[in-house]
Amino acid sequence: MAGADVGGKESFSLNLYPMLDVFSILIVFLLMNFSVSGESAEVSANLELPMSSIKVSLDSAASVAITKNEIVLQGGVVIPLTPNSQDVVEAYKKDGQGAIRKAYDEFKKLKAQNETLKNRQKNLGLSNSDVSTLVMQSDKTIPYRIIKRVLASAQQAEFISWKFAVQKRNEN
Amino acid sequence: MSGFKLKKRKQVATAFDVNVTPMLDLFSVLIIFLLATSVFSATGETRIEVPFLSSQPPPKQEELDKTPEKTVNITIDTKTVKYQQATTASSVIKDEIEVPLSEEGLDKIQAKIYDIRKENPKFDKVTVFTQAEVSYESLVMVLDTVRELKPGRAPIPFPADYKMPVGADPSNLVTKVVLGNVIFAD
Repeated sequence: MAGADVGGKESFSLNLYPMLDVFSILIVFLLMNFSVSGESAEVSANLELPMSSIKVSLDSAASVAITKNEIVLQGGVVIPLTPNSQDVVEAYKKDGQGAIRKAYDEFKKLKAQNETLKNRQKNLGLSNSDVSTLVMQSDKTIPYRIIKRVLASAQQAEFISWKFAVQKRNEN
Repeated sequence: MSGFKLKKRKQVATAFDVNVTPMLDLFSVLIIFLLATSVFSATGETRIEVPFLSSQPPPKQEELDKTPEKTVNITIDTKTVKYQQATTASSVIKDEIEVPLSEEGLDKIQAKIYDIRKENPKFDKVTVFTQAEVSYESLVMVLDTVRELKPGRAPIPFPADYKMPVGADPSNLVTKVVLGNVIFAD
């Protein structure tokens, strides 16, 4: 605080320089850590991804999110899980090879859409985007029993390549 | 005394004072913008493959015997991880260890795969079998071990003529990870 005697009255002015110094440092720090690329894929809410030392950033692709309560497929189709997240509810268990019928139908539709997109890109002379890969976003507590069912459903719809979403561990 | 006062007043009047308040306003707005738009927790990806159901018959054993290749299978249980190494020429297991599902245990498995990869750079596939009760977190922990070299481990010394697969990184241990037991009857 600085005081100055102006016209017999004491006036106070706040010394803002230290604050300015702090703000400058903060801005430099934020600019240095600012991610230019950002997140190209949106991670679903209601799920906690496991930590990983992987260095590859998640790319965008059609995704499947497995939360503690449900499986959410691309396009908003929801398959409920049992209350303890141990399996899909009985009504959805239809397939003998472990696939979930409803998920398989959705994957099949997605595959057809992707094939159309691929053909259009080819006709237009554009580089093909990765249409045969799916992204799995699963809560870290979800047992492999459920993950396997989703993988089996996609596999039968000819999706055999997956990207498992993880939370990048800060190695610094 | 009055002369001194006059001199002081004159000094105050001519003092150059920068008004930092607009700058402070600008900085505040900039900080709020950067805080709101920054991505502090990045999301990564681990690529895996699921075996494709093919109507083609499997290769004949005689063909496999001619050019035997090393195979590595990893089986994840809720508390343990088993490493098994064999060759395509026979199903006889050449090397096997079972370790607890922990950083230390998985480090031993990574050392085994690292040695194979160093000896034979063409070896680039690990098959992972996972038990039904294993959580996604444990699966990712094992996939990390298989795919990414742990800090402190030197990159694999590939020969000059070795072609790195597309999308692979020198920090990768193995680039092709296949989930082995997806199809099942229940």
